[in-house]
Amino acid sequence: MADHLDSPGLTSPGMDARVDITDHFAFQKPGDQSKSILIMNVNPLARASAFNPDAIYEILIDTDADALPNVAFKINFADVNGGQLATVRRAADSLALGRNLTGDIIFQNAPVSFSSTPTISQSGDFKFFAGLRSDPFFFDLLAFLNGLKFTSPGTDFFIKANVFGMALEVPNSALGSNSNIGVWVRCLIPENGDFTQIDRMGRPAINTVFMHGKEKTMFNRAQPNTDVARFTDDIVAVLEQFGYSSSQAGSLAAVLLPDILTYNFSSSSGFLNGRRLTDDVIDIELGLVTNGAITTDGVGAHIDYLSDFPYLGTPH
Amino acid sequence: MKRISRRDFLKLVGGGSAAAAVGAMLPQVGFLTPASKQAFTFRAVAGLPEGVLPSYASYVVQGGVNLATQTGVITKNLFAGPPEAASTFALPGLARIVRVNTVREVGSTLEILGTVDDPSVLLKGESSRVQIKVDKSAGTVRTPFIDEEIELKLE
Repeated sequence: MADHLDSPGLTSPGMDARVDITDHFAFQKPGDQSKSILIMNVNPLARASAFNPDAIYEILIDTDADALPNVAFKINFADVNGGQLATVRRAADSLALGRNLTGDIIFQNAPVSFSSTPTISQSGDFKFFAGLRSDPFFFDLLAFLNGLKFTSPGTDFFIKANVFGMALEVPNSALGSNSNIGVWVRCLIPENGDFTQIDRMGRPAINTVFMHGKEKTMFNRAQPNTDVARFTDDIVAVLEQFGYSSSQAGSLAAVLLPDILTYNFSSSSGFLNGRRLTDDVIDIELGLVTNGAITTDGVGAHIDYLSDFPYLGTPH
Repeated sequence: MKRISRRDFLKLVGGGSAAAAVGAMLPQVGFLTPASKQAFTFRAVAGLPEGVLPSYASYVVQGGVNLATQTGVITKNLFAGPPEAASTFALPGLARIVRVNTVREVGSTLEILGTVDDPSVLLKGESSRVQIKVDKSAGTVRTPFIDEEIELKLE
């Protein structure tokens, strides 16, 4: 539930898990500080059997702290002979803003992996993977739903779950010259002759924890550069319920919005600097949101992550 | 009382593989409705988690009981999404089919006791014996989710 199933309303006219973002990650490549790993996962519990060939999956990079993308990695898929092939583009500057398939092609016809063995494509300094993998997320969802009654140890709801992942290994030079960047992901689907943003994610669980009801869908469709104006009150209201003063809640909201994962690619440290697969983001956020009343959900990182690209574990 | 096996029951309701499917097939009449003098159906919903956080999922309890025969079937499901925007996707491992053993009417409340049809699905701390209290005048249903009693609103 980092972002799993965060907006069932996005499914009209029919639920489409293929464009339901579950998580994204950004971290320095282990053993190589000149590269970064960007991962975007969709399709919670792998309910759908493939990527949506009509959608555009984007990993967006803000290099100048204005909450607008300066670089976009745009991924789309084609159904071919019972399988799928991916195309990955890198769009920069004004092209990064567009809701379309523009930019320089980095990978074309990269095969999607549906089996346990990941097929990795390489193009210059870039690597790419797309396909079925083990969901790296860990959380005691049932204890959360059962009134935040966490136990030690807890029960990891996602321990046997799968997702569809897209992983990119990129040279840091492809992320801009400023090492302090912001990263977020979104899914676009065709609607009325254009592409509409149907889901997005920056930091884990922001939409899940702070947005009520149909506002979740509004949040998913909003752009980060409007977050502060539109959603600060929602975050402040929840934080105040946990004992924060208005002033404290406002200060925290200013950190949480815009909903972008801040990442310094010259550093190998983890969340809040980017996010590694093993980072216990839920423990960090539980402590933050509950004002220290709850500090852990009692579950930890999975042990099935790979030591090399694409890092996501073998599917169950 | 004639007991039916889980297999027979699923066959009876159309071969569904989970309580989610069963739940979708049960009548959704909104409020406790006298289908006959002794038969009642209901559907109740609560957002989870309860409390100050936004609801992530919708806990739906629905079914029908017969006061005369003390029988009935009630399903419990957890659907993704808050009650005001719930999906039809039932979170795996949480669907329960409850076979009713006893129904008692106390004032405006129906006290229903039942047993989870398939005990192998039970979670730690979750009992196979289920109590469901339907308070017609308050418009509420009280029943546990895992081991925590939840108040649901009758629809």
